[in-house]
Amino acid sequence: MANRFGGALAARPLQFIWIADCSGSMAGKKIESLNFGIREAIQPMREVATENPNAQVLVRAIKFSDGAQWHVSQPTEIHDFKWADLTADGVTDMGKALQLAADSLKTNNMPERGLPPVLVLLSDGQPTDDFNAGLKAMMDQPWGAKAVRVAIAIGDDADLDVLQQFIGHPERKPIQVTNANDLVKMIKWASTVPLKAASNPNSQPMGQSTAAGVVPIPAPPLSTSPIDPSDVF
Amino acid sequence: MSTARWKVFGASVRGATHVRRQLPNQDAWCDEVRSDGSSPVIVAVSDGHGSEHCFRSDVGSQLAVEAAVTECKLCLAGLSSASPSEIKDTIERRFLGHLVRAWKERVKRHAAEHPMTDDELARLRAIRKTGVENETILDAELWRAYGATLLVLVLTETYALYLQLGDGEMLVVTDSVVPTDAEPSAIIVSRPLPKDESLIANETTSLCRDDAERQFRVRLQLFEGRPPALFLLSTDGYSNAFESSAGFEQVGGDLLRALREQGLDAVSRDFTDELNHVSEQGSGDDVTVAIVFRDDSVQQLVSPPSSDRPKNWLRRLFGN
Repeated sequence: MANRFGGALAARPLQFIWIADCSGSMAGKKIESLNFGIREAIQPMREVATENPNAQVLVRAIKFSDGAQWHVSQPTEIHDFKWADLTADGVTDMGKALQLAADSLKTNNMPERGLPPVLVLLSDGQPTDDFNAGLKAMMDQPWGAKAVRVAIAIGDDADLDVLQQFIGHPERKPIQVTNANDLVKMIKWASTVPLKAASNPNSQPMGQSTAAGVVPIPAPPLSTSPIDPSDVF
Repeated sequence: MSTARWKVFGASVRGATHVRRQLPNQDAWCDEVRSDGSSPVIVAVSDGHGSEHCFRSDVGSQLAVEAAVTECKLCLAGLSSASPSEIKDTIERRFLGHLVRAWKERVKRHAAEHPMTDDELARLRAIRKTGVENETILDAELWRAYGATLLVLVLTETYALYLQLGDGEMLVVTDSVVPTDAEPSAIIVSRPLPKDESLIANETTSLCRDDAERQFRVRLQLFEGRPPALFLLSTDGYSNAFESSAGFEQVGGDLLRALREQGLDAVSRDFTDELNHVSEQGSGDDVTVAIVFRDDSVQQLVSPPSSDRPKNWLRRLFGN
């Protein structure tokens, strides 16, 4: 059945962006687990998309080390999305990655009727460039400020303060992982639970969202699985 | 001065997502039109926010449209001899604040008659992270629990008044060009109010905010000649269902043509099914649409024999 009045109907676009640290310190187990975790998350993300047919999930990825580039530049339907493995080398230009995300979230690049974007930042270290400038650029964009922002701190050297600033809501903390198994699990959580929440959000009175953000999401599960010492970063 | 006769129809459906999540329809609409269709006509549409804080917003939207229609009617009676500038001034300086207060009074009355349930108090506790008893509920928490948007259209013999707080859409359809055989009806669809660029993602201005009366968008449109043919008010669940703004605006012309070709009964009969389909295939949100159309704008073009058409049109437009 077609609608009798008006033009074509369509689900509302939902932009999902992974922002992945590919600095030299990520080499080895961390980047392998990150690649494996994202590949493993794709099918559950497809299931979330199938359960929420009124959201069109469009996925992209940014990588940052010496500078920042789009790893997947074209917003790609999750059902068509494929992950090409990242490699690690260089420094941690996280600010440039946020600037790149900010550019993509400018109002003229975003569909007016879009759902809140979801940004997942993964990092194991401290920014080597102007993080604050990148964060400001992102938060200056209305869609950046209203995005659901999740951060995963990989290993003990991750800068929790900058990841907390990226999240921007006091009740939501960076997810800390210290081993490969937990990183894979938390990538799956961060890629599906916020996605589901953003797929059918209720309206909020402006300026009255909770400390947890415009789109409330539940806290991530605590790791209960035994840790294999050889698995620790 | 227009002696137009108006007809109103509309529908409100529970969104496809709300059905899946077992949530109620949080939209409402209401109208006031005389039996002979003469002005004034008042139509109001509201969208309850439905968020965790806004757990009574399905009632809040209903109270909003009732308050709007009642208070607009009273206000119009007091403005019957006012000039356009006096009307706009009164609306902006006094009426909007009065309307917000009228909604809040209704909210208070409803809350007094229907005290918060244990479940609702538990929600407030979770939000506050402290204990809360019924008597300690703050006014701000109460307004938020019932939070909703509001769109109002008032039609008189000489003007249309548009009021909008929060998301949602209004369309105006004019058919002012003299028809010809090649172009039987030049239909122009426009938006009567400027966009509020801050209304993106899922945040909206609202009756529950302290600055509600200042956030209304207001326009008084004086009629020059015939009034527009059709007005449409909708919650954002409707416009968000269309792939493009142009696709949404196309609704205005399509509806007017359908009313002309098929008549009101045929168009309104399946309108609820239409809106259910729009929600399922588009936004997933509750969808509410209210339509006001000038009866003669439909009557004048209902399928006359083609050979007779130009003559009849000219006669209707310019007299014999």
